[in-house]
Amino acid sequence: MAGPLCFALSDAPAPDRALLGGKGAGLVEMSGLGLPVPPAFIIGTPCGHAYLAQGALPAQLHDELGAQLEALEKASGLGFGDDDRPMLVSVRSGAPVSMPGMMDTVLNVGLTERNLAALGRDTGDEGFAHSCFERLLESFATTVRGISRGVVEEALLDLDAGAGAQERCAALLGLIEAESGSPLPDAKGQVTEAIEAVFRSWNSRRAIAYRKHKGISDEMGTAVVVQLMVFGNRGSNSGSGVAFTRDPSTGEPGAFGDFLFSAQGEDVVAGERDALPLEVIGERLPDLQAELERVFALLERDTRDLCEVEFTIEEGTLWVLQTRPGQRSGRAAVRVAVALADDGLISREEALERVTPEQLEAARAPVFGTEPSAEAILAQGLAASPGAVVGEVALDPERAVAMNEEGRTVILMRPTTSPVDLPGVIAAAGVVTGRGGRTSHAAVVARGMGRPAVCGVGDLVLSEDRRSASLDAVEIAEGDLVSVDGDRGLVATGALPLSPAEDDPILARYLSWLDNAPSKETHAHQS
Amino acid sequence: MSDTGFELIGTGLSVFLGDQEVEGPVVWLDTPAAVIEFVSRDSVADSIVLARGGTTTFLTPALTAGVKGVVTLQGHPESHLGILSREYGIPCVMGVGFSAGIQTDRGETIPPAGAILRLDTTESEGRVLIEEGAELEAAPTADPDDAAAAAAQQEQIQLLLTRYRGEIPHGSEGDREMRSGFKTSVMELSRENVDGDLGIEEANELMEYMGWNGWDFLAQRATEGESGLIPRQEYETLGCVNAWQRWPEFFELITDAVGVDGLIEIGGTSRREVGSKANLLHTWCTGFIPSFGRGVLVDLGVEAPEAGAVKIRSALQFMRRLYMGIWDGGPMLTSMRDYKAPLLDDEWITRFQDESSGPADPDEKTLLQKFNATTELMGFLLHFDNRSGLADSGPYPLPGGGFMIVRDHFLNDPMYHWHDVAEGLPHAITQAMVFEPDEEINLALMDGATLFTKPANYLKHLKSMSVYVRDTKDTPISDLRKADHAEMQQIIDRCDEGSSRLYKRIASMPKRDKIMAGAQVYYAEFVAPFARLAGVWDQMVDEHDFFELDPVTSQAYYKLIAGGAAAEMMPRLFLMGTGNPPLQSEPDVDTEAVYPAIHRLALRGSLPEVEGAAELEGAGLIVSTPAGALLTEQGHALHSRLLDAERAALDLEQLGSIYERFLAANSPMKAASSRWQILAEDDDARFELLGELGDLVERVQPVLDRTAEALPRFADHRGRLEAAFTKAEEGDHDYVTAPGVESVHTVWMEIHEDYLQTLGRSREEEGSY
Repeated sequence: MAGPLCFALSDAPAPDRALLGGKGAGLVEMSGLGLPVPPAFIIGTPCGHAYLAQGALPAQLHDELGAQLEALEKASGLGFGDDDRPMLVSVRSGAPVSMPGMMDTVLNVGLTERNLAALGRDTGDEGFAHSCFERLLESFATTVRGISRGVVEEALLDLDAGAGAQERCAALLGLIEAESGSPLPDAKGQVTEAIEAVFRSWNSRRAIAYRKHKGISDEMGTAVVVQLMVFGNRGSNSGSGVAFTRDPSTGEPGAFGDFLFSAQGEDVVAGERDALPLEVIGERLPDLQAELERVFALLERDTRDLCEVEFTIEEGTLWVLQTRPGQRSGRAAVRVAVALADDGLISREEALERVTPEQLEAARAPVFGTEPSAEAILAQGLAASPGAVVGEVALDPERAVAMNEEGRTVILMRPTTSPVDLPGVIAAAGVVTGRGGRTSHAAVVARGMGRPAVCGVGDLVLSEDRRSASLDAVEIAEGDLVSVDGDRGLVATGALPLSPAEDDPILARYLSWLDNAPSKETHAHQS
Repeated sequence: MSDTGFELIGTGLSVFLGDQEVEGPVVWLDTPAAVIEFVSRDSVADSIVLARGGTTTFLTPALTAGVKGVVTLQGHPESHLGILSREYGIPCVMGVGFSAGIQTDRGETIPPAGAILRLDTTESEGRVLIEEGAELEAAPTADPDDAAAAAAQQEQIQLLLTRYRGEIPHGSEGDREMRSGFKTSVMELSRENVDGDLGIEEANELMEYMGWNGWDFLAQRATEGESGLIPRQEYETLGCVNAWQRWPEFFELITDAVGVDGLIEIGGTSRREVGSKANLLHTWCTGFIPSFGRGVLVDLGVEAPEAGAVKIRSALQFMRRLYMGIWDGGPMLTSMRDYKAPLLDDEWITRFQDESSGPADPDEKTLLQKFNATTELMGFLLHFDNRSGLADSGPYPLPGGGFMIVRDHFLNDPMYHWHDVAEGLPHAITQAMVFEPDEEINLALMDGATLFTKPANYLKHLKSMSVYVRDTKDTPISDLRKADHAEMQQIIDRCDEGSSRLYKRIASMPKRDKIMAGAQVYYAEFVAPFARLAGVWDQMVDEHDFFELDPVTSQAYYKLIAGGAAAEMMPRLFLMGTGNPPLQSEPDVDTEAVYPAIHRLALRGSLPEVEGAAELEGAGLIVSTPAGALLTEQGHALHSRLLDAERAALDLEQLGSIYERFLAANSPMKAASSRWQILAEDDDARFELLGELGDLVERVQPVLDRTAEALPRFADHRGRLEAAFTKAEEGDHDYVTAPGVESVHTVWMEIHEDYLQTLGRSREEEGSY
């Protein structure tokens, strides 16, 4: 085969999607832009074609793989398969176009029974090391070795009560050997098998169905991305975050997002630990705060749009893991479009195209005109479901139903929500919960029903009769009038004045652009 | 009777009838400091002391020092002080209202300090006279309306003291009336009916009886007034509340450790042993204390009567099992047994009779009486005025005529830190007392293991007595040893010294310390002996933080103590018998058949359609609303009972480990559901997400199957989850997360909730919201 099969980020040809796949090309692009991307290399689509044609990886790959892994070792100062300072990598699929149905990711490749303890030592958390290993073993068993998920679950269910991650790892190791005939290989073997599994998954039932549905050629093939794993839980100067380059609820300038020290990215996304605002980074690591701001600016200039950024800080070093156009509320869509046009980054026509009809409709819903004063703010939490509403507090789902039947507008406030609260959520015009993040059941349900919701406002302690409660030091009683701002994640005392969205000069300007747009076919303008 | 030179200034109740009047200067004791100062005077033995209330411990030093007479403004002869003054043989008139004298700072009328009083206790109406010439003012005449109102209230209270709720009398006649309408055999013990759970009807009848039984025993005491030393009503209510909050858990631990048969065996201790706290009183309290604690919380509005429906039934059954050991079946309470409790095996009585010897001379008689009174007083003080320092059994009829009473005094328990003052005293001493009365004596051994007699002064008929020592609580009963007079004198001296030290210490304690110490007695005293015998006491202390307060107890503290509810509530609950609120009766449905439907409602909160809705609604279990069918309060109560029963039959540990596998898939499922909503317009992403959802549905199938082996309804969950996913996969995207339909997320949430409820876990402790 002519030319190399593998490409490091720095020496890859220009972001060529056909060769590097979507994910790979994206990484090359980010790296070229000067973003701190964890070291990685990409195995191009030709290798996949060769593998599927011959049923084996080309010999050339093995040589290149060794060299590429060595480069990663050098960059990280770690050793692949090393017992003391183990380097771990992720193996991901990446077709030239988004391709659901393929094997997605194998994480923690390179972890073995021998170097498990070292990871536990470095992260100060032996349990974490075991759960990383368990995750590798589960992926390896099901997606690499093709053991059915049901068989894996049965084996885990057979464990004695009280079994922890360590016992589950032992069970999975046994299962892999028993079901597939050979044990978990060493680091090099793991990465090789994972690469093969990515290529094989091109022909998975779901991937084929998707290509057929979308009319995508079966010839396209996939690339593989092998990237250094970075850990946000390696000590107190580490952490993970998800950031938006502007506030995705309001569109106001300034980065906005969630961050957790000593945590992995999924801890932030899962919302099961209460995340902190980005500002906490600057308090502990001021240099990184500046570095992040530089990254956000770079991204916005490059994409000319609001971006969402997943990042990890490992022992004081910032790594950008993923960026994508940020999901935003209708109001934010309008504000961002106008701001970018004002900055000359996009034209007015582009600005009009950036806002969908649904977003515009949402942006025109009434809002709380002014941000409440500090004294009026009863609670602050996560903006879990957008919208503004004023109503009377109910602290119990049955009371919410009863009050609704009396014709009152109800705000259901609960410490947490369970299905039992559902009638209350249905009866309520807005929802506030003490615990839980944007993915909590309460948030899912509130969004599903279009109820404004604020989640994770703190410890809401109900009285025995559920007619009053305390939230930190604040006393709340049933029937209290409150305002719920699901865009800002605020709950305020009393009825904040609702004002027509058009009072907002930015929206007014956007609407005037729309009215003056030369083409009446602009998709946003259907009236 | 009235002599010249004295005039009558007040009447009250004679605690026992004496044959002569006593005279002496009166000393008003209203604070512990006044008591301590008083006993250092030379004139103690000549004085008549006057105190407010009728509790023992306040006057301890005065009684020990040996005053000439006692007068109280409040209280009743059945009170501890009444009992003690009887044992000491000190003439005592209680509940005296004075018509003339001087005014205290609280506006009470009392004789002036130092005036010579004469106590006449020859009739049951005791009379207090004062020497002529004392400077007296007439008691202020109350506003006639107020006086009339007070008199009417007094009359009302008298009626309530004489008849339970104004209707049922004391004694065996009251027992018969109480039980006449009972439908269950809860008051009669059998090996079969102490085995399973106590039914609601059974629990209600038992609690109804307990209201009367507690009144029969203690109502008089409930009106005895304030102690002056110990805030008694405060610590009693608080101790009962904490017992109610925490004992059921310990009862379960004990029962798990020894089984029902083991518990019955432990209950039988009072047949086999003397000097053990696993006795009649302590058994009675295992049911009465938590039940009263529940009544207090209900009265405070802190807890609904139904909230503890399962707990109270299991606590009462625990008590019944111990009683089964005491009686080996049949009537449970002494009130049902003509107030007789000859518990000890015959060998004991034979031995005691053989070894007892009569008082040879007046000195020896004085020693025996002093020994009895001193140890009794020490027992009261050590247990913060709680009668658990004393336990009687009997009467045992004796072959040669007469009868025996066996009495334990508990003088040292390492569980209480203030028992350091009892150093050198044995854990318990036992008095075997033989009586050969030459008059008719009416004996009543109450369920609290206290002997009441009519006439009250039974000690004068003491024929012979022997005293035994059980050195520590762990001393084998075979090592019980007889004490000679020298040792008895030594015990008297140590008790005198110890009670004097403890009195001063308690007097110096702030109110809160007194309340917490007293509450600790109420809370620890009645469960510890049984836990020790079951071998789980150390585990309870070390692993279950036995001596900690439950949060609800802390919450109740401020209402009871700072809010003053305790003092108002205690006499009312006892007098009115409202301390044991009944449970809602079992609804008239086949509970097993309706369980699946109401369980689903409990999981979902509301459902548009419920199987058998008409029947459930007719039974008051559900109610139809525009939001769908909801469980009523009765419905929730029935559900929690049935759920508890189901839980009891499950291997929760095993289920918990299966659930861990569900939980492992829960976060990815919630994250996928959220992304689904957020990525509403991204077809590719949604295709991807449907694939992820499919993987997760597939992944939990073995988990649900495994769960269904123990809980068949999880097979339905599995079916509904698959059906939801199939609909979603076929293109009906509402079936992914929409709350209004049986979507994947809706069903998943229900399954999660079912695990949580079945395992008895909360989302807070699990951290999954």
